[in-house]
Amino acid sequence: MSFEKIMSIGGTGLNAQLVRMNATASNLANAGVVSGSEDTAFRAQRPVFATLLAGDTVNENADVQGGVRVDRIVNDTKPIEKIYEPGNALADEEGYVFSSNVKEIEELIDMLDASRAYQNNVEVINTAKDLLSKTLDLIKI
Amino acid sequence: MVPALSLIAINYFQTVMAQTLDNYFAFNQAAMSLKTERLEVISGNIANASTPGFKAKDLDFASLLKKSFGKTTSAEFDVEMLASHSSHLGYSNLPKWMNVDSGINYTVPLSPSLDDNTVEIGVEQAKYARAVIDYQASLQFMESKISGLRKVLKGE
Repeated sequence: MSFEKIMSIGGTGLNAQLVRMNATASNLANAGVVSGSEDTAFRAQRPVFATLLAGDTVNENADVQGGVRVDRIVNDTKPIEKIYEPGNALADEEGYVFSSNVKEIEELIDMLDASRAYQNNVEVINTAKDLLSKTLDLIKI
Repeated sequence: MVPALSLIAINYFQTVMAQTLDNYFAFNQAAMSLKTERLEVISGNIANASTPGFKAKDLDFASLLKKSFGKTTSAEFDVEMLASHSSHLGYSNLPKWMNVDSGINYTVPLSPSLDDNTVEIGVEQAKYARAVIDYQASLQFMESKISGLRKVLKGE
């Protein structure tokens, strides 16, 4: 039945957007983290989505076909800010700490977008479910 | 005499009646399965609303329905249709590598986005809503066909 396919495509969408919201939550939680060197400073995490074409599955055991998947998670490339704070326990020998490159407003907007996209997929699944139950009602007529 | 007659009746039902029923529902069946397929394509677009480089697709309903009925001689299927919407690419404009046989066309976005994703969520939502209503319309036709058939069988 094709409706199951619609629901599973919606499901892959929900899954991907959930990963995105998780990344945003982690970014926000780590927004205030400072570090002793530029290399170890926290960088915002960004999931990159890729299309699952018809016939592709999330992994070889899944029977979900088509939809979207999280391809990889990359570090945000925005520059790390260097702050002069000699009193900080993590400061390097010159007295600098390196803050994360998370921008709270960007994260909140990303969260908003992810939650809207999530709702869209929920709506797709709900509608498919309604249509499926209406179709099954045909045998009652 | 009587068993022979009922055998004939059963035979008649199996051959003639079953075929008639098949024909009776064939159009709606084809239409409904195509409409579910369209819902599937649009749900794929919505799921990929934030996938970089994704190209939104849509189904050319008229040509597919025509194809699923094969070469029919009835006049209502003789209309030639290249694109069902002004923002769809017609078959004649499509590059060779696109699989036009599947009846799935790429939609042309109203305004292009930076990441080459051509899904416009508002447009897709509207299309999905429209496709749902189309499906429900088919469902209504099917319902009235079934209830009509029932009335005939009951002899009311």
